[in-house]
Amino acid sequence: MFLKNKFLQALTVIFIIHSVVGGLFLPLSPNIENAVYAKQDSLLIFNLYTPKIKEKSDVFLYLNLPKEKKVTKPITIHQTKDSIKAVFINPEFYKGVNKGMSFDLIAQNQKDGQMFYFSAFTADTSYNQETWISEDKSILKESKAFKWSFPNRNILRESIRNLFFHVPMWFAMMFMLIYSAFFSIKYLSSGNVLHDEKAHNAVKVGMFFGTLGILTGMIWAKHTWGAYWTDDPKLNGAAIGMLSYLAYLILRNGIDDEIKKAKIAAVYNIFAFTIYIIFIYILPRINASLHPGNGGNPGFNIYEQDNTMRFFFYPAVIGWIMTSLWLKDILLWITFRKKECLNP
Amino acid sequence: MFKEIFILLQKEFKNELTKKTSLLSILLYIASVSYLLFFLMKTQGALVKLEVKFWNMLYWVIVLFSIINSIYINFSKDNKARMLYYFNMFRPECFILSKLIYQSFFSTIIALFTYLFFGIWLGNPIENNGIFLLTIIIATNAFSAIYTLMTAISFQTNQSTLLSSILGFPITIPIIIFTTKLCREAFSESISSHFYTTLFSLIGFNFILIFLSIILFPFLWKE
Repeated sequence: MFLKNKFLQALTVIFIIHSVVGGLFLPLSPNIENAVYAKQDSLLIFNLYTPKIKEKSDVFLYLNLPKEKKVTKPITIHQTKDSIKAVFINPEFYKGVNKGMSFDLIAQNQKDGQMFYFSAFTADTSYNQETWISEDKSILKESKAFKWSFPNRNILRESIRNLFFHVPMWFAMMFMLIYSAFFSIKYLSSGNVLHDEKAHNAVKVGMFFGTLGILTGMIWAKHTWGAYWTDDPKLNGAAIGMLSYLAYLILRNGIDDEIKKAKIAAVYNIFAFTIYIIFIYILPRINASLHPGNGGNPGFNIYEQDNTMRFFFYPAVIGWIMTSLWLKDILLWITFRKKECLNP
Repeated sequence: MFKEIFILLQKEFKNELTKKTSLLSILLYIASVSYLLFFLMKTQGALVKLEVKFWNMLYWVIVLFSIINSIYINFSKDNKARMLYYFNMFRPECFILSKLIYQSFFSTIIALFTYLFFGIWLGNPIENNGIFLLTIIIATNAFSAIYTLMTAISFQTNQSTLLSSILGFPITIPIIIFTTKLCREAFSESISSHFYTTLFSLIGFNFILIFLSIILFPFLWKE
């Protein structure tokens, strides 16, 4: 399909270039880099390091309790070259707050819009008698203008760009494995060797994208979780799946007879695929995982709510899936040319 | 269908009881490995008592390897002429089901004997016997379900000894993790909150594995 259709080839290249160039070169939006707080009597003093904020002249600061949508203002703000010092009165926002609840810090000015620093402060004593007085709710409901920059998150920072590589590569791998399992089932019902070759080459391409996905994921994990490999159910599932598909490739080499090879490989492929799906999608939901979307972590929503991210993420997904199909077509062509050379 | 399975099972048991080689060889294998472990523990100076964590680990690894061996021995007993006879006489679903039932029974015996030898030489940390027996039955069933299909696949190829473990290992890793988790519950009288999720996911695994074997084995059958 991809070998002859020039339009599809051009589309794939455009999607890939669009997502790679845009994903790597678009700037991040301004944000608070770091927040350090100290408690003194009834005061809470924040030191914000904010080299990313462009105009510091009129920054408004708020402490925000996310679930109850309550906001409090600081009493004084003191600004220096690369930091802002904000002082909040302690008891005022402590009332009615349970131990362990965390506050977000919100900064806002005319030019940069809203900036969030999530979980800047965690309450450690509880006052349950009085309710907390909220003020200036309206300021949080301002409409967001469409800006050409990626969201700047606490821990993610620049590594948010990996979303355009890591996630689409796993999608491409999953697509290839589903494709391969589909053609294995088709082979068992039809006995057409073409279907088996399709399944085999799809597994090869899938393993290629799986390796890329693991490498990009390892780099991302190093910068956000602090280690290249963690004991995460999803990582273990991915590694086990990769091992079982490598075993599939070894199994194919062990059999000489063409039809026997196709049949046995198809059986093993269906078996491995079913188990792999269980490992990667069902088990992480039972156990806690660090990945977004599992075990109480926020899902992809935080990324998808941003229009700029969407504008590059969807083309990246489509582009990498189309690349995988293209690669599979090339491999298929090579296998059939080899066969033609061997038995003309 | 049940009659066919019954006949096949009867044949397996008769075959085993007349020759007795495979059971005895596997028992000797387990006994010598446990005895080796006993010696290795002793060389650390005085006789050290094995920690519960390591007991658990070693126990399941040895059970797994002896099950792989026993299934390999079982398959290699059937020569080509006998397979042809089965092919003409029985349906593939019945054949694989009888193999599965026989293997899970045999594997449970292997696990119990390993427990016996471990109890003699390496100490017995099991407090809750009911849970331990349940774990043994479920886990050995899962292992034998995986390796029966994988050995059936690998017997079609040239290098069958190595391949069955290569094909089976990736799939066994999570099952052995779940099993050790479940077995940890047997070391104390009380049950932790994770017990039922682990138990039911293992049982679910078993059903999926058996289902897949029944569906996929007929395609291997004609070769």
